[in-house]
Order: sequence, then C-alpha cells, then structure tokens
Amino acid sequence: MKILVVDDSRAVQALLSRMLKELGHETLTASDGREALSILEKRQDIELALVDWNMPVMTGLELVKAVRASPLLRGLPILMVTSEAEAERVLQAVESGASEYLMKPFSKEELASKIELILQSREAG
Amino acid sequence: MDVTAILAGLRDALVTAWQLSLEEEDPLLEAESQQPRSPCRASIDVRGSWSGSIGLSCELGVARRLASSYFGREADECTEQDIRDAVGEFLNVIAGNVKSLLGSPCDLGLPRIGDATEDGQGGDPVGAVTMTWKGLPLRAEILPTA
Repeated sequence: MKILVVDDSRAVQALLSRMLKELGHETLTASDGREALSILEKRQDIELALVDWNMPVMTGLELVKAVRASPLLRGLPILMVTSEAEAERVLQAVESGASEYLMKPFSKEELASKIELILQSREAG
Repeated sequence: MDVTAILAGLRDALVTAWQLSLEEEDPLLEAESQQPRSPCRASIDVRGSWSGSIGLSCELGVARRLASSYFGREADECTEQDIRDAVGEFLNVIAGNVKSLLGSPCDLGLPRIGDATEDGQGGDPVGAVTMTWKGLPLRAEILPTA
C-alpha cells in the first residue's frame, strides 16, 4: 500500500516511514497539510494518509476537512497520528472526517492494528 | 493546578514514551533530582486552563539514543539536527499526554529547542521529574509562565 506520512517532525517522518516499510508498505512524506494536499491532488495512487494534528501552514484537522470537501479525494482513508490525547480532540477529528485515531506514543503493533482496521472498514464499505 | 498529579502524569508519560518510542530494553529508572552536566534542552508552551511550559533536558548520550531510535541510525551516526529533532519530538509526545491532565481548553505550541529559562519563557520550575537511563539523567520540568 502507498501511504502518505504528514508530519512537520523529521523524527516522526523517519520513524513512521521505517515502521511502515517493515510492515510492507511504501511511503511518501509531507511536512504540512498544504504540501500533503498538493501531493494528494497530483497522485491518485496513495491509499492512506497518516496525519499529525499540530503542524505549521495547514494543520492536520484542516487537511482532513479539505480532503473530505474535495470530490477527488473525499474517499481517502485518514489516520490521525498525534499527541493530542483528550477525548474531545478525538471526537473533533472523527467528526471532521478522520477514519481512525492513534495517540503518540505508539508501538509498531498498534500502528499495524489501526491500518488493518481501516483496511477492513474499506473492504466492508 | 495539582502539581503532584501533573508530576505523576509527567513521570508516566516519560516512561511510556521511552518504552514505546524506543523499544528500549533498558528502562528509565527513578532518580534523585539532578541536572544533566552537558544537557540537550527543549521546551514547549502550554496555553489554556493552565499556562506555562514543559521543559526537557538530558545528557547527550540519552539524546543520541533517542535520535538513533527515531532515525534508525547508529547513535554515533546521528547528526546534530537529528538529535535536536528527536529531543523535540520526544518532548512533544510527553507534553501531549500531560496536557490531557490539565483540562480543556488547552493547546500546545511547537517544540522549541533550547532552555525555556534561557529564552525568557519560564521561571523556576514548580516541579520536576528526574530519571536515568544507564546512569545518564533525563529531567522533565513544569515551568510557569514568566
């Protein structure tokens, strides 16, 4: 699966890219929501986006809303991967269109489990 | 703010982030209060029901271990930028978990590499947690708004 990792932290980009590669996926990276949106609009082969919340230029939540408002992109599964841990933030993300939510810190197994949930949901839908 | 509860949350966040982010076999251990001798420092602002900063300082060896884990390179192959980014992200994760204890509304800033007390963002800590990894100290502090 081709997965876009959206995080302004080089450290998280590196960590997630390595974990996803070990899980058998290909990755691309973007440093903010606007860059991610540009990549997604140009490429039709990305099947999942992993999105941080707090980023400069365009936040993860703004990206989720932009994707859901786009006729071209609205079906893209989005996994929010963030240190925003409050229940109301999770609710806000899901209500805005995030498919799943993973709180930092997380293990590779937890990441794999969330991706599997998204895949199952896509197949069922 | 109940400082005792926040410090307990800070300690839990440190331990959990260390275990999960690093898949590290050597755990963080409780330690007497001490300052790293040649520290890498980072801080992050919290604004909302409580406002201030959370600071992190650690010995270079700890910072290199963090960078090694995030970037998948040997510790001695990590660049200074790798180390700065890794320490900043580790603090971001810890602060996010602590923020959830502070009550809404509460927002986090972006991590700042450097000492909050040096850049005028914080005063004396209202509380701190010191732990060690292989004898090297790692200290997290709660700093009030200056």
